[in-house]
Amino acid sequence: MDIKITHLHQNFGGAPVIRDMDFSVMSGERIAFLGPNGVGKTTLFRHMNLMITPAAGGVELDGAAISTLSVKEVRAMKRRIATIYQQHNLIPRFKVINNILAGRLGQWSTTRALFSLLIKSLDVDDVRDVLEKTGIADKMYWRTDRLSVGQQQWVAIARALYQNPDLLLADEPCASLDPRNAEKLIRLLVNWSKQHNTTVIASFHDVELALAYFPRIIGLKDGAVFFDLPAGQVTKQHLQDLYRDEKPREVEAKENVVIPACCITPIEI
Amino acid sequence: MSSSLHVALRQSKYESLLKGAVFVGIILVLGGSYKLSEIDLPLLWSEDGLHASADFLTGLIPPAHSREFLSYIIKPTLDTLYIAILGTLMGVFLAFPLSLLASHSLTQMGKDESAAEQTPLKKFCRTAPYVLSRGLLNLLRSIPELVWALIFVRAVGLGPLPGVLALGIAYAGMLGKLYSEILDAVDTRPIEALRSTGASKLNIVFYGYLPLALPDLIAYTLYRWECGIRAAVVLGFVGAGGIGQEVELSMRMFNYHEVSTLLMILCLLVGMVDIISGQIRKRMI
Repeated sequence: MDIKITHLHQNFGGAPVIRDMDFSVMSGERIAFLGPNGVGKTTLFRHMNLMITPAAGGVELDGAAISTLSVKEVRAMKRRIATIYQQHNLIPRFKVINNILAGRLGQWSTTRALFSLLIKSLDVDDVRDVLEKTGIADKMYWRTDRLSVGQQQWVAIARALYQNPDLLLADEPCASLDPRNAEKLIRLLVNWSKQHNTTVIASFHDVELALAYFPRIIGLKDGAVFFDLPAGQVTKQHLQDLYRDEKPREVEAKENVVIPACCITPIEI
Repeated sequence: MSSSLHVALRQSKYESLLKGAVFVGIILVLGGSYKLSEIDLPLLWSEDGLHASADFLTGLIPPAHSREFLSYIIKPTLDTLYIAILGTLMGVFLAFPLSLLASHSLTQMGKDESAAEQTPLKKFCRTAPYVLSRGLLNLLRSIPELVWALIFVRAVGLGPLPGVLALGIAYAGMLGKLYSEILDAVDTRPIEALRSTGASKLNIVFYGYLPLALPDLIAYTLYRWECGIRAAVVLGFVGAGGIGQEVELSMRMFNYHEVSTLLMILCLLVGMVDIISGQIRKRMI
């Protein structure tokens, strides 16, 4: 799915969150968003998965301007977009399998949805496929809130893959994963994107992971695109400028932190 | 520094003034209602009052326990239980669809998602069912079940049926409001995740709202069922069958020992319902 964002504006309670943002994405591209907290990444993602409408400017998906679509057409478009959230956003009481089935909820009639809740063996094979990809196939019938936070994140990832999307959005998907799992997740997304020609757009705080696996990096700052470069051309200077705090702080962070001697002496085991 | 101190002082002064006003208000309301409701406590220990109370209390002992009476009251006891169960069930089935319409978060869901469909007509179509169902729930709830029972006794005659109908209608109002509030209080993040897959509202209800709200829905429904047992007894007083009707008959005949048996059965019934609903709660939640 290709995306075109033109002059996007959004404000909450008068304060602009996104101002005059422009970029476009080709089908099958993999893009990582970087930028400090509160820069409007999550808001931007909510524009791309059609949960909110822009205050000004436009979002185009596969050439269709979203602002001209009816409710029904918006829903049809949403079916092709899967989102992985920072928090897993699962139903805690549900079994893992039901949380994954929820990925196809947009494609199902109400009768179909009810059947999937009542007849347990209906969609087992498809679910097992995505669960094996995420490495938690043995947890299929566990109650979701019995899993660890990291495992729950894998369930959320499996749900997104089960939706079989044309556009996969991941808003800081690694926030609750350890470094090894974070890399595993990114590899999975990259492979999935290559196999299915899925557009993948993700945001990260781990700069090195993003640079290693995503061919294109967009830095966001103050609600606008700060740089938009191939991963190879992103320099240290770019990143320093991106994360530098421009507002003067009341208390400067100390450059040399004095470490108490007791912490330096090695502990004998 | 001094100006912020000033503001803080003024605020605390304002706050204590407000507290004082609330306190005086409460005293006035309590005093007023004592006066207006014509409570006459001395009447309780006047000679007549004491006499009547003593008559009633001594009449309670011994409780009636003839085999004839005991076998006779089995049916009214079961009737009361049935009225409570069927009435609450009827309430649940009426309340649930109404609560979906009366839920703010469900009716307003997705109103920002299509810029192309922000016409006044669409807005009206979104709010009209909400306003109507809220109004209907308020109407059902504001008329007490006793009044509903009087209406239905006129309409369908004496017996358990008017009791079931009265309880069902009144509880539909109460449960509907409770359900809609429970649905509105559900964690919005999983709901947003479901909405972003393009799911229809009804699918989101079954896959999101219901499983998220289920513990609360069950707990409040069971609580209402417990209340329903007591309400079913009261409804019997106006002819809606069950133990209540028997209590009323025995009272009128001055058969106080029968009344005491009936009251003991009622206690047992309420205790039993308590245990059952406690068990269900434990299993389901």
